[in-house]
Amino acid sequence: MSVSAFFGLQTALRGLVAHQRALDTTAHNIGNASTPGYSRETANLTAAPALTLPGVTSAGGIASLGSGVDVESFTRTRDAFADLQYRAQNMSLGQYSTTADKLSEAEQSLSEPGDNGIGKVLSDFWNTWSDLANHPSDIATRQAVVNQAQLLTTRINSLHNDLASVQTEAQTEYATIAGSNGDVASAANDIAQLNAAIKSAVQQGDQPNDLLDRRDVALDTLSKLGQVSVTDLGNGSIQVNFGDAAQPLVDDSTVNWPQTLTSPGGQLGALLKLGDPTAAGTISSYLGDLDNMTSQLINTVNTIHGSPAFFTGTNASTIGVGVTATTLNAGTPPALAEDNDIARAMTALRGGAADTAYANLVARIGGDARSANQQQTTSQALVDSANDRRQSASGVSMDEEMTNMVRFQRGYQASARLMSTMDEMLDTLINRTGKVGL
Amino acid sequence: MLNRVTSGTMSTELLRDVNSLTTRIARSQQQISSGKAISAPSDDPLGTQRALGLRSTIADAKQNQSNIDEANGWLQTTDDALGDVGNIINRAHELTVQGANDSLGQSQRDAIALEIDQLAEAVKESANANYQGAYVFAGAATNKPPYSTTPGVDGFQADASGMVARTIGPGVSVQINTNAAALFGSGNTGGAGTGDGKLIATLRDIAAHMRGGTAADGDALRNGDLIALNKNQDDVNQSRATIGAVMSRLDSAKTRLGSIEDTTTSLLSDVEDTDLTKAILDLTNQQNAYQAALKSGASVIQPSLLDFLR
Repeated sequence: MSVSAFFGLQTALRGLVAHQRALDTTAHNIGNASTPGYSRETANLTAAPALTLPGVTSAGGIASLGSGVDVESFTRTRDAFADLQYRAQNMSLGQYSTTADKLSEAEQSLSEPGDNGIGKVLSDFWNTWSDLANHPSDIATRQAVVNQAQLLTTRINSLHNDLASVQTEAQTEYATIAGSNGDVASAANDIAQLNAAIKSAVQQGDQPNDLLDRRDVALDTLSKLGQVSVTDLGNGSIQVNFGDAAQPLVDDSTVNWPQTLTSPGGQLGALLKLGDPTAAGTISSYLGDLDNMTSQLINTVNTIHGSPAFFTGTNASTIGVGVTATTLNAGTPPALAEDNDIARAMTALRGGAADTAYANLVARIGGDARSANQQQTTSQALVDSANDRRQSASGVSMDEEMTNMVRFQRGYQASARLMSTMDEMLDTLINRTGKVGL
Repeated sequence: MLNRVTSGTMSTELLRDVNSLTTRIARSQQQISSGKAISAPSDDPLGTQRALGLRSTIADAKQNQSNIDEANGWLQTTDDALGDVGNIINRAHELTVQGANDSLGQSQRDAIALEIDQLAEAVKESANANYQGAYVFAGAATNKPPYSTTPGVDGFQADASGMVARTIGPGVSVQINTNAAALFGSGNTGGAGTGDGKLIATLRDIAAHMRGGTAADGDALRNGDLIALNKNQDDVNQSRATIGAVMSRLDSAKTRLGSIEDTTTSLLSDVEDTDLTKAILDLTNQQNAYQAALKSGASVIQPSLLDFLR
């Protein structure tokens, strides 16, 4: 069996086409070098099926004549293990950065340490009692005690409100993110749609690299919001479990959302914990401590002051001042002008239960904020390093692409050159053969 | 170690490092410009808690020092008044000795009696001494003058038993008042010898005995009255000695509070304030690192193979 004279042309054409596809892939990589979540793609070249020539060898055996190159597939380079690591760390980062943000708001409302915090107001309050002990019947001094008490109660009320509003914010944010139009829902819808598209592409034998990249980006977004686990359904589609939700969030192209979460991890987990209105909630427990400090203050002061009650109310949100400059007791009634036993007993409360409870509350909020900050820094570093590892596999390197570009361009040029060589050869055969003697 | 480093990896890493450096520079800068090492409780939760306690201690020490100043003013006023009373007693002593002399005529004794009565009024006036609107000898009823200003009305009219105290330290109070009822009494409204034996009664007795002019009156002047007057003087002196003792106790307490304030302030500064030397050194190091990072970044990120291809 002989080989067609045009066989070489076909081989050269395959070379041209394959190198062009490879150059196209390089262009695609360069174009998407800065696209978030893009994985570099490779045109996989393979030798085209050989032409089998029977009986050409001296022994009458079969020989294979190479027929050039084919582009077998375009694949994306992705390290699935790095993805898992990235998503696990991203969940911690979401959790700690949200906690750190909210706790930093909480500690800002304390204005400690300094001259603007409740610590200073409380200390000034004890000072005014001491001044009152020096001038028990001076109306200006008595008024100063009442004014300082009012300032103190206002500050306690507003600290309560500030902390409570951090709690409410956390609840609102949770409701927004986890709501039916929130970030979770939109990421889930993206994934479901991409699942459908990828599945149909895979059925047609295609490998939809860019759709896969986009689905991974949606999973990354989701992983910051809560714990994500992915099961491959084998047909290109995936099932996504989110947090501790009972149903899978995305199953093939079905989305089950909203669902109830109790401890989803990530940003939502942090918001749930911060906004929890029961005693187990972070902000709730601060409010409990503040109430405790306030009731210490009310009890100790009112016990010494006797009737009428100096402070009204029972907790941080209700505390108020129940006396005026005239009904204030500096000494046990009926008091003479210089009787100051009550005022002196009040000054001895400085550094007592209320002061200690407040200092403990400040130290507690500060300690929690500090550890959240440190954990945020740590998980940021871990996310960065997981991302570096991912980029190491999937990132586009310009040097590499330039090298490939030169390689494929030369390959294309050489294939073209081959084609013109074939052309010259055929020219010789067609136009110059059989002209002997003409 | 990454086995494949792309230009993207390099630029993200550079950006991350430069960001973390600028954060640290801003932090050092803030510590230097505010002078405070702790700007929020999370910077140092234990330090913040300690600072709250130290601030409270400082405020307490300051307040107690001002309490002591108040108490000192009160005691000084009391002491001045008692000093005046001491002079009055000396003069009364002289006059009594002079009047007890039998060679004096009755008219001269009457004149002495007049002066003694004036001295009794002067004692009442001193007993009405006032510190910042408060009658210091009036017991706890400092809004009432201890004695009437009407001549001859000697009854003590304020609070005879009340105590006035000031706080000078955590849980420590001292009594600062001297009661006029115990020291000067309420005179002798029922005539000579009917009084309570206190200073005003003694003075009124002396005046009555001067006017009486009998031999018995002369004996009373020479014996009973002089002895009573000496006893009254001892009482006044004893009160002044007590005041002196309290004042010196207050002085030493104030010195102690001052040194507590100083020590605590320097402790607070250790906890709360920026260690300038360290902070400036840190800032310089961070700036050097920042510049180095920018410089190396600028030279590494820019070139790629692209620059060398034709």
